[in-house]
Amino acid sequence: MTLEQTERQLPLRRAETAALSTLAVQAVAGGLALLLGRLSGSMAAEAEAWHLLAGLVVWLGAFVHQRLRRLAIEEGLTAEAIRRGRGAPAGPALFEAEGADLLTARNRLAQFEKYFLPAISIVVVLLLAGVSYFSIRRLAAPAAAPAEPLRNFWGFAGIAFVTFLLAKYAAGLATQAPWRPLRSGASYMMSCALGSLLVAVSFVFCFFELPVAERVVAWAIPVSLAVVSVEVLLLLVMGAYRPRAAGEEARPAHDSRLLGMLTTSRGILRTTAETLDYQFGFKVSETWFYRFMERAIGPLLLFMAVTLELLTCFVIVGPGEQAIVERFGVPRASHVPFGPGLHVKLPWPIEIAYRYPTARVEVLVVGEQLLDEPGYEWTKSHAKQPFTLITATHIQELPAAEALPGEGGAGAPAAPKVAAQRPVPSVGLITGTVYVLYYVEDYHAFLYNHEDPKRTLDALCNRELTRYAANSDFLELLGSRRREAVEHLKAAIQKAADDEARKGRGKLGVRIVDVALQGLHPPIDVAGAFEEVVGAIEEREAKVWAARGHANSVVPRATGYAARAIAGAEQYAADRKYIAPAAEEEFKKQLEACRKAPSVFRHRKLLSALKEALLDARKIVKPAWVSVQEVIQLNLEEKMMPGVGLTPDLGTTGGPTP
Amino acid sequence: MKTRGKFTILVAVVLVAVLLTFLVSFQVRMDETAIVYTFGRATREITEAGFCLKLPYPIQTVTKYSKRTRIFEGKFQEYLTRDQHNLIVEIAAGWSIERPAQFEEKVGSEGSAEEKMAALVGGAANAIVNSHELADFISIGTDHAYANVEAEIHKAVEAEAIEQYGIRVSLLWITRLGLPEDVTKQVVERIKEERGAKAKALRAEGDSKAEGLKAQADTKAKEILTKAEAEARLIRGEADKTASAHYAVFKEDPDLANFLTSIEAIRNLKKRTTYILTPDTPPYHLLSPSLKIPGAESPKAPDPVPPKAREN
Repeated sequence: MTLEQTERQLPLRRAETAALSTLAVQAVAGGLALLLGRLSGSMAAEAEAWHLLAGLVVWLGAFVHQRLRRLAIEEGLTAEAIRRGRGAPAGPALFEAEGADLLTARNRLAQFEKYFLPAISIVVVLLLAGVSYFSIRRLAAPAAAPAEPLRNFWGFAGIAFVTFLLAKYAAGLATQAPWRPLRSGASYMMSCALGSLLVAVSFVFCFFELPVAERVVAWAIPVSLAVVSVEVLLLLVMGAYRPRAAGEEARPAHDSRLLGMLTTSRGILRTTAETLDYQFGFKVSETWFYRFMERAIGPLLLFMAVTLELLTCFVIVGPGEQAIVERFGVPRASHVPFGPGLHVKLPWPIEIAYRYPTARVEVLVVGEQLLDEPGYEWTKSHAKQPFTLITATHIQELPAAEALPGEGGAGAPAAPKVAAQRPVPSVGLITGTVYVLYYVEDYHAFLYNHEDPKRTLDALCNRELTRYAANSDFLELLGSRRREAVEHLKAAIQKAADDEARKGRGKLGVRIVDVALQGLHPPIDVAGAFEEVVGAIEEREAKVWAARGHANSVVPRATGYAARAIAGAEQYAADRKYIAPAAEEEFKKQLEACRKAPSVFRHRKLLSALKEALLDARKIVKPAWVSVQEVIQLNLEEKMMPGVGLTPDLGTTGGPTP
Repeated sequence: MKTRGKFTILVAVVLVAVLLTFLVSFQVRMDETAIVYTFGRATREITEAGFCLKLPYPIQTVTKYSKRTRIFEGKFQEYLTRDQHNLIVEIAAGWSIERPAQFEEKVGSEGSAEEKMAALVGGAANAIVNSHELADFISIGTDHAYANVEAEIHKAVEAEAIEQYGIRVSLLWITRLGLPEDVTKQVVERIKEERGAKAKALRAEGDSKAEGLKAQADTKAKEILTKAEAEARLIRGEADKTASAHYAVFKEDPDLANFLTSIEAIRNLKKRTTYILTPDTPPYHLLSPSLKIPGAESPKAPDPVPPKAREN
């Protein structure tokens, strides 16, 4: 029977009536579910209520689609009757070629299928995704067990029953080609029936004080809706790239293939085949490969399962790893873990292997958690979280000479001692990061003694660090005793990890390789004060060195001056020693010469001396009536600057210029 | 029956058998204890690891409890020590389920156990910390006192935990010590002042040392110079004494001797000296218009500059 013949025989309005009826029932069921959900405080019930209400869009779309389809069929039948009345030859030529514009209902249907069905699909995707998102977000908060589980059970059981009947009825109608638009609504309504049934069952569990079932359903519904919304979205996208065939029946994207399996007796394979056929535009399900897969899928899955189970009989322990194999929960090989290599064991769940890279050195960071790219200056923050340790501090005694009066300085009366009273400790603050490097030495102890051995080790390291700091001097910890601190912490952590106090019953099974104190420093608030001290030390040293430099220059210079003074005196003495006799002899001879021609001798001596003295000297000869104070010197040789001219040297031999 | 049908039945039988096995059996690991509940009543406690059987759900259910030690990490809590110091203490305790039935009855879940531990540890710590002085926690070289405080808190918690909740507390550590915010600020200020005083002392020490060194050096230099001057004077005096014997000859013509000394002084005058001479000075006296050279006509002397012109 052809589609046209079927369309003529079936009552076309029945599908519209069915669509309208189910639409109304869906609205009532959704409202009722929402009411029950709000009254009981059940998140599962509320999620299902929104699931039901979102179906109104699907049914509305199905109703409009069905109505347009009926109008198009009726229009086609009328046109054919007119053509027959006119005696025109049979065939579609009149209405397909020349009179196509007259077929308004068919055009409307085509437009609806082309534009409105995808739009409805988009709305369905958004609705399902929204319901899913908000339901899951609400589930993050803790909730009390739902109230009135019995009442809710009856309510949801009723909804499940009614929606199931209507879904089956609509699905039955949708098997006929003219009523196919009902298929999307029927599938959706069947999913609502299933959801409502689950909610009803969960209320039974709640009645028996097992509210966890309601919680599970409250998760299952939004997750399922999210899956369906993703499927509809994928179908929508893939539909855009699907090859079209003339006269092909349009299938909206919100006609979910997953939900479709709820209303048909066909299996997953058949549904998959139909989906592939629709997507690729040809019968994929009739290919050789597909048919082979259909036959072999069962044995293949079984083979896979058996192979996977057999693979659990082998344990490959990698380099640096150890494995403990438990048979029914009891470790095999009496506490000796398996080393690297291939090992055979009984299949899961009889024997289960636990592996761990025991040889790998791991790092535990205690204290400041450093930034990704920290600078290590004391005065700049380089930690994500501040971490401060309390330390003890030696009470700093001022030197006697610097002590203030009454503070026990030199000569001050001794303060009365109170022997019975313990001194109040002075505290210091220190911060830094400690890296504890360790590896698993005893995997058995590591696996079985502690729920979270790393967390235990972390607490242990914090304790040892805090204890050591609290009993150490602040300044010594910062400086001279750091090496000692590392050794002490390493030994103390190891001792505590071995649980020596309880003979190893709570042993962690780790070997401490090293403890690194990185960047121990005073907190940022006081780091500047510490740096100031360092600066003051440098300043002091600089001053001392400057003084030493002064001493190093002054004393040798004085020694030099002294040597020169003595040398000058010695030269003077030498002059006296040698010159005096010579002068005596010279004078005797000069006296003799002078006696011979006193005037000439004296005159010549004077001129000779003037000749030598005045040879290169500047000479000014002035008239006798000009006083020496009235002589002006103009130095024309010096201070001549280009463009400026001559600058007179106004210096005089004495007194103002007249 | 076809082979395919037999095979399907075999697979189904195997699957059902596996499912049934899972329904009626369970494993207890080495680090676990299990309690079997029959219709909600604890009927069997299994402490040994191995394979066990039970009746299917819902007749019998099994709850397993880990025997491993868990770590409870308390929050920073402020306490008052015996000597009236506020101290913030954080305590961690290692606990495990020793008596599962009692634990299930009194506690129920791990989250609830953490709450119970918080209450137990907090209460015990409050009592014990109050009975100790601050020096028992923070003091140089009193490690044993710190451990004693831990041991006392541990003892108090351990007894109550096992008795009331079936929980064994195997470890108890003070993991952090702190001071209230205001006290911390005061400590910071004290450290700043202490460091500031230290810095000032260091600077003063530098000044003192530097001045001392300079003074020592200057004194030494002055001493050296003084000594040298004294020695030089002695040398000069001795030389003059020696030379004076030769100077007796100058007494024969003191005028000539002084003249020659003056001449020597003129010779030793500096070369760059400017000499302001009068025409009376030889040899410039030759330039004087009044000088008459024997045998030569007297040149015409230039007119003297009239006083009036000089004034202009």
